[in-house]
Amino acid sequence: MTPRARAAASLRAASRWRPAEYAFWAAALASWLFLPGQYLLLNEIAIAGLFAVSLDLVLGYGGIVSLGHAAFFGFGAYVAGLLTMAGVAEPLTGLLIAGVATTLLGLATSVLVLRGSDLTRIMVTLSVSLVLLEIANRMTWLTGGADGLQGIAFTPLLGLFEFDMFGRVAYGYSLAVLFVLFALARRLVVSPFGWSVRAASGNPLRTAAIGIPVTRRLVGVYGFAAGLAGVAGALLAQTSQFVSLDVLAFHRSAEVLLMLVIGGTGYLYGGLIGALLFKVVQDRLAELTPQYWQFWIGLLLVLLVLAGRERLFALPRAAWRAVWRRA
Amino acid sequence: MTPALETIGLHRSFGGLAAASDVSLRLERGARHALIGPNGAGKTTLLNLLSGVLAPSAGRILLDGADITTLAPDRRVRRGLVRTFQVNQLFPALTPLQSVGLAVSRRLGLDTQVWRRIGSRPAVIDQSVEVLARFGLLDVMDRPTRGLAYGKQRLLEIALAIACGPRVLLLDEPAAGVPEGERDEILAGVAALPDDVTVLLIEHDMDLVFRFARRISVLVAGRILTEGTPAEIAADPRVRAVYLGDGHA
Repeated sequence: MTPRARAAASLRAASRWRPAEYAFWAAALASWLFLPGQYLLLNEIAIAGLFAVSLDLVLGYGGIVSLGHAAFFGFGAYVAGLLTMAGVAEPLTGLLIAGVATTLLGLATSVLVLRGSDLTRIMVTLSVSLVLLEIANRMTWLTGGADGLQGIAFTPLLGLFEFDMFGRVAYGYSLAVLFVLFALARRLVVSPFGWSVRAASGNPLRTAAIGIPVTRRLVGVYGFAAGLAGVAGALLAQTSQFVSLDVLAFHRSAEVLLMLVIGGTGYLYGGLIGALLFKVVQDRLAELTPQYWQFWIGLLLVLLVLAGRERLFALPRAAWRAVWRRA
Repeated sequence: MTPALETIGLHRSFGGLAAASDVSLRLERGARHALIGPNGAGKTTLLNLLSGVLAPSAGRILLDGADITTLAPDRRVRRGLVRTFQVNQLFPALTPLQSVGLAVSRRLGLDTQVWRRIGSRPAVIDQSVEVLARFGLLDVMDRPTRGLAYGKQRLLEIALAIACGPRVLLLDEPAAGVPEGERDEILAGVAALPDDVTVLLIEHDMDLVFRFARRISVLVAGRILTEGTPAEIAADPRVRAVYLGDGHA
């Protein structure tokens, strides 16, 4: 093989879909077809997964540590909820508007976030989410304050599919949106833009020295990720037909970070796997010990940190890698 | 003719220490110019000023006659002013192919593409392979950079700059840390640059300097002591005094 062909193949291989990925999404589709009893949990997982993928773009690719990612999730949820009151009750339209609005919020706040070091970024992201929470809390005439948004209702999806009480349409809808946006994010990270984001977070000095504007790249990925988080929030608002202050709460920012820590950063699937594990464990524990599940999940997380994800997941990861490599 | 790169009264101080003081340099198009001087003379500071990593306290920098004094580093690169670093500044997680491919994509204006994958344009592959081949990096092009031998990393350091298509190239001690036998390989790729590319070389290895440069400037304590042809510099008693006095032979 000529060097040229080798280089072309090598770059192509870095972006090609692997068999394991097809299997992953086939399993997701199967869950919609064959697990009707679990739709509520599965819907939660899909939404949390999209939220975690968004954080992975920020943290795993952009290298920005955020402790306030719920700002975007919650903002998207409120936008989606408020839109129905303004008469925009078609879910997909609402989703689109919520995504665009949250992207704009992400771009606007990136100016604050991208200044300074990791520690400053943690503080600033946290502050932004707390400020939004307080605004939502105070503007009761708009948001309903602590009572939440009352009486939001959606027309059938695309005018065709009504949200049913079992969550069949809801989960199918969330899963479809998750897949489309995941595919978009996956496409983005293997584009020249995506590589330049990775370069910018890995070595900003050299990135500038090859002519790439570091700050603008990070602003771009932060805005895009914010939009994804906003869509995730909007999905929650639409599929649960309810929005409360909880969507902006700190525990959401912390949980999504935990999911990403569990699943691993920088390969996009970490967010999905982390969300799946976190939600399933949470659900099982809540069933086993309704009162103490938070204790157990806390204990599990402490063990996870002490033992290290690498060691705990060495086996499944090795298996995953084996399939990955062989492709 | 307008010089390719010119500085006028460039000045930069850190606290009370003047690391660059009234530096006026003039590099004609196609120059092979070396900047030498004892440790701490301010060579790297000057390079940081030229590349925009540091802002000067006073003075101006002209690239092809245009004032670039306040331009951000990435804007200077887009205008053809490219540098390398004394200590490797690479992308450890990326492969040489990906790193060079990114630089080539940028040069071709494709770096803001979000929809097509990197290297989907044949031109990116062609030019990346050409640069990698010139620096003998083809055999390691798809291994992560962090695992490469130091010599290979050093070559990649320069290959990345070449991939940017420089019109003025600033080389900060390209042979630093490279064993003597491999130094020729480092400069071979630079020597193969087209004649109209201007090169400013900072280097400690006098052998390399005298083989490469057609003009040499001597920087001492932030000031240009003298400038001339290699023969003139070699014969200059002041230069000898600086180097001998500083413990260098």
